[in-house]
Amino acid sequence: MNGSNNNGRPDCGDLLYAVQMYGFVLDEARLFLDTHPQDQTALEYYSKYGELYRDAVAKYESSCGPLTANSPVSTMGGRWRWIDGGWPWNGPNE
Amino acid sequence: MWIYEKKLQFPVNIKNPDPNLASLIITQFGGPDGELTASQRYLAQRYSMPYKEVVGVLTDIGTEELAHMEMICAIVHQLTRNLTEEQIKNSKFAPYFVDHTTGLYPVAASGVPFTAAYFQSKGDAVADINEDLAAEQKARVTYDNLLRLVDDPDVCAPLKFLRQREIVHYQRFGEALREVQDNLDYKNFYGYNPEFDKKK
Repeated sequence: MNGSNNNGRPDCGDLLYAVQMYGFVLDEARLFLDTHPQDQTALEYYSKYGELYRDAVAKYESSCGPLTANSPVSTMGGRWRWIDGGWPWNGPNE
Repeated sequence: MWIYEKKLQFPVNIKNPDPNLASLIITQFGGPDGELTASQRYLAQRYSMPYKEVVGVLTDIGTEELAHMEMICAIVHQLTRNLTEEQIKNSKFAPYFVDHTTGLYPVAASGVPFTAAYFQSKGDAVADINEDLAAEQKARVTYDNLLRLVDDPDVCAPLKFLRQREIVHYQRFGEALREVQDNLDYKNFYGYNPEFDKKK
């Protein structure tokens, strides 16, 4: 995570880290909301971070490939891109 | 990671409870050729699989099996909803009821609880994909056997859908095996294990 760019292009590791960060915020808030479904502060929090999560996913996918198979970028470029770009359990260097 | 979608892959709407049928169909939850063992088999095998097409198949079929497990649980749940004590007393469901009431617990039709010994993850691409092909056929036979015993169209429809998916998965695993073999030495598929040995 050094925030550096490669030829002006955003780094996929950084973009993924943002998705993981906002994704975990939602995972944590979701559990709280399950047992506090009327909590207005938590509802606003979930809504705000939901938007940041969706933005982070869109940025990641447009530069680095699909995060889910039914992403609009899976079918771009005349190839099924879902299987490209490595699998998460191999880490970023494979 | 996974995200839960609040839907079944295929609708399950059963109007009439039938505890005897539930105690047979539950085998596709926790039995030797059920959906729980299928999902865990494929999702365990994919980590060391070196070919991305095959990892895609293992990931996507493994994920679909989780959805099939949910459908089986929905069928068993709807077949055991609103039962009277009299209905339970006069059924083959009674021994299960004693241990689990109408909660879902993974067992075979014989009552044997789920065990990971039902599946293998061998760390060898040829061996694992052959296991997967056999598993899909065994699951297909189980659905064929269940369909011999079921008359209720509400129950038949999702079972027929699940049977059909076994056949599609078998086809895809056949293509996955070809992908594996195309990457190996055609004169000796067993010369080296691509999941362990360094490529020559």
